[in-house]
Amino acid sequence: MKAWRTPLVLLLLGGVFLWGLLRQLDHRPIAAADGRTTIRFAHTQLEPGIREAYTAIIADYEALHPNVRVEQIAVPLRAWAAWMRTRLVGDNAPDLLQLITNDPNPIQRYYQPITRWMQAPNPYNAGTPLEGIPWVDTFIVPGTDPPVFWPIFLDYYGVPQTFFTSRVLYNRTRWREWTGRDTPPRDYREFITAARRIRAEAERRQQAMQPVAGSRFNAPMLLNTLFATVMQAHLDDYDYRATFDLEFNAATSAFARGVWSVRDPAFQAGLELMREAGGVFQPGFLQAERDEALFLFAQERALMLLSNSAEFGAIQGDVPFEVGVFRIPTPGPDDPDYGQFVTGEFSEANVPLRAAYALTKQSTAPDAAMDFMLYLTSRDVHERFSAAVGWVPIVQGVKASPEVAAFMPRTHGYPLGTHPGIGIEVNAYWSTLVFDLFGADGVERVSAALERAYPPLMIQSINKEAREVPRAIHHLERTILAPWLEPEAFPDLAAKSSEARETQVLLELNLAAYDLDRAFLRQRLSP
Amino acid sequence: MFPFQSPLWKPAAWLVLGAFGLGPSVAAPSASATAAALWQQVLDDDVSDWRDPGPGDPSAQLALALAWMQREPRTEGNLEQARRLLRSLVADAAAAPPAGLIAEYLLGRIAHLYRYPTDPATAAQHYHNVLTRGADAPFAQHVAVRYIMARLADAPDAADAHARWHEGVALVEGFTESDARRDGHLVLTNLGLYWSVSDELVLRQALAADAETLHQAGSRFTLHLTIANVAARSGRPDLAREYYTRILAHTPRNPKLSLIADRLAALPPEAKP
Repeated sequence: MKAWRTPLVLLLLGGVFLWGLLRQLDHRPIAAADGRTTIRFAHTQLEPGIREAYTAIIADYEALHPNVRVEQIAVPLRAWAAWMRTRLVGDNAPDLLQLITNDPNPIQRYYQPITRWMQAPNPYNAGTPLEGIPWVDTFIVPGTDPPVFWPIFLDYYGVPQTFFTSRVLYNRTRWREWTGRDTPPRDYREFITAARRIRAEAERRQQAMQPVAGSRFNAPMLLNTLFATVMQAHLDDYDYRATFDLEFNAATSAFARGVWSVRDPAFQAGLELMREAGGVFQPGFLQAERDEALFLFAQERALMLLSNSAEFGAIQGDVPFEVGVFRIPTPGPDDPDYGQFVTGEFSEANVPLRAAYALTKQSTAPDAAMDFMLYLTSRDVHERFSAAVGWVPIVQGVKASPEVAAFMPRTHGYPLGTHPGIGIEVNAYWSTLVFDLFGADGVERVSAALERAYPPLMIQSINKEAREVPRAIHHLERTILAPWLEPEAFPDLAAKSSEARETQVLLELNLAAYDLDRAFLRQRLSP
Repeated sequence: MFPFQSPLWKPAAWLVLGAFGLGPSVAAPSASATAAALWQQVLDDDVSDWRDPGPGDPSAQLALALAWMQREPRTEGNLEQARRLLRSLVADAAAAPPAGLIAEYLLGRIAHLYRYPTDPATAAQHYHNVLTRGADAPFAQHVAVRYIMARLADAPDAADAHARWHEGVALVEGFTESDARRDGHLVLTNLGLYWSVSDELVLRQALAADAETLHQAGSRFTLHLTIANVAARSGRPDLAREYYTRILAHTPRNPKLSLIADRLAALPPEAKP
């Protein structure tokens, strides 16, 4: 072999290696072919109109910032988890990713805090009543919880876009014809009466028309809410801390301590109510997919449909009739059958902010990416965007369009209880058991099954929930210990130490309650 | 000479692989021997590429122990690596406070939080060791709160729980650090209610917790509501009124506000002076 070939090969290989090394170390912003800084954001909102609305906002933003190019990436929800993981692990993630769940595990690993932006005014609110107000305070809900603020990390991570609230959509064009009413039902009693009237009318006309198009996805919106309403009977005795809590932890703890049972009047009333309300749906609704329910409604073979604010705009645009909206109807305190268990209409004051964007650690243009987010959530732009996509607005001073106003969360009212699927494992069992509720002797069959199933499944649910709490405690543990040992290296963490310890002890108290509940439940299982 | 017959083909192959990122990552930060750098890696959850800093720096050893504790997947092997480091630090405690106390504490944490099933009794023993050896150390008060919690979560029955609760009260009364006092009073309030300690005694703890600094609006809301409701049911309407009113004045949005307003309205008339 000629003597020069080997050194040449080595030189070429070394050059390739050096090029790869420099490319990995280069963290300058990605430049578009025309030299502009490119920022990319990815989301799962493939509903009609949303991508178009983003495109219009992007065009306006780029006109303001000719040196920036904004790229929108829309990914189907089904593919999101795999797509996102591939991008994050492959060091090729967009600057901004939508937070689909409130899973804390990816947060500190893949995203960077946005606290410094959140605590400063939004410059795009200049000249509006929001001028000078810290960005986080321009939203109509305090940003104190995920996806916006994460107590276990003591930082802000998410820029919210909207709420998602559930409502009943109805065919306003044909409503009077089928129900004899001009207005939608104001409570459960009027709702069930209207549903029975629709059934009777369909029988009389020999025409296919269901009161409500149901599916395994949307039927729980109604059934679980109804059950949770009669659980208001337990507002004073579920939570040992006397804080009117009725959700999973409180309900499980109260069951473990023997405060309530399946045979209690309120629980039995809840099952009866679910069984009665199930009659408003088409046969087989619990096996139907979401599209099937939507099809029934769009084809005018069902007069009502349960849906949420994220889908409303698309549905409204797709159907050949006028769509009305009303809140999920629940029994009032004066209801002849269920009123004794009910305190009042439920409040939606705790509906979480949603569709938040988080800034990835891999972003090579964090300031540019956050500037786009500031623009998107500035008062005037947010108003345009929310109106265009039919989403509930969340920036102060932005009025909802008349169609969307019905989706604004109701902030007055009372807490809701839980539904029979109390906890992860119980809920999985409940989703199979609920079919029996609508068969012969359904309430008794389901009651007997839940009596047997609750103790062991609640233990399994606690085991699953409890496994996640130590991870959160660990996040705080290192936040507390690092400045204790190296105070000069971590002055920012030292300043947060008191808050971190407060958050940590509250998480540990949850864990302590889990341990105690588990012990009580095991006693119930012992012969 | 055919290239693969050359003795240089292997290093050449690694150069090619490295250029395409398939070789050892050169972008990952190298594990520095300094404790602060190791702690930063722990905080960043960047614990996949470590070099043991070796003995000599207890802070660095603790960072490494925490890295083993948080490494995924969480295995008994990883936890045993952490225990090994922590035990040697505990044994070396006389030479390296407060690292030795923190090491003993983390051994308790592993028993308390990182294994399934959890072992609060073993955890309580480790925490107690910290209290015994480091009674005057501020860190010991932080650990004492965990000791009280582990004991109350492991009580076999109400009578035993009440006895342990009173022991906890005595411990917290000696705290000098405000965060530890706050946390201790919160624990005694919360677990006192769980174990049905008398409302009067629990209220005393809750009010003491409220006298310390609570940072999060949610924590304050929950504590104030507990105080108000327990006061209302135990025949202290004026205290209940004070706290219901405070909640309504400082809480802009919460699904419980209508209920709280109802309860305030239902209280007996204010006692005349």
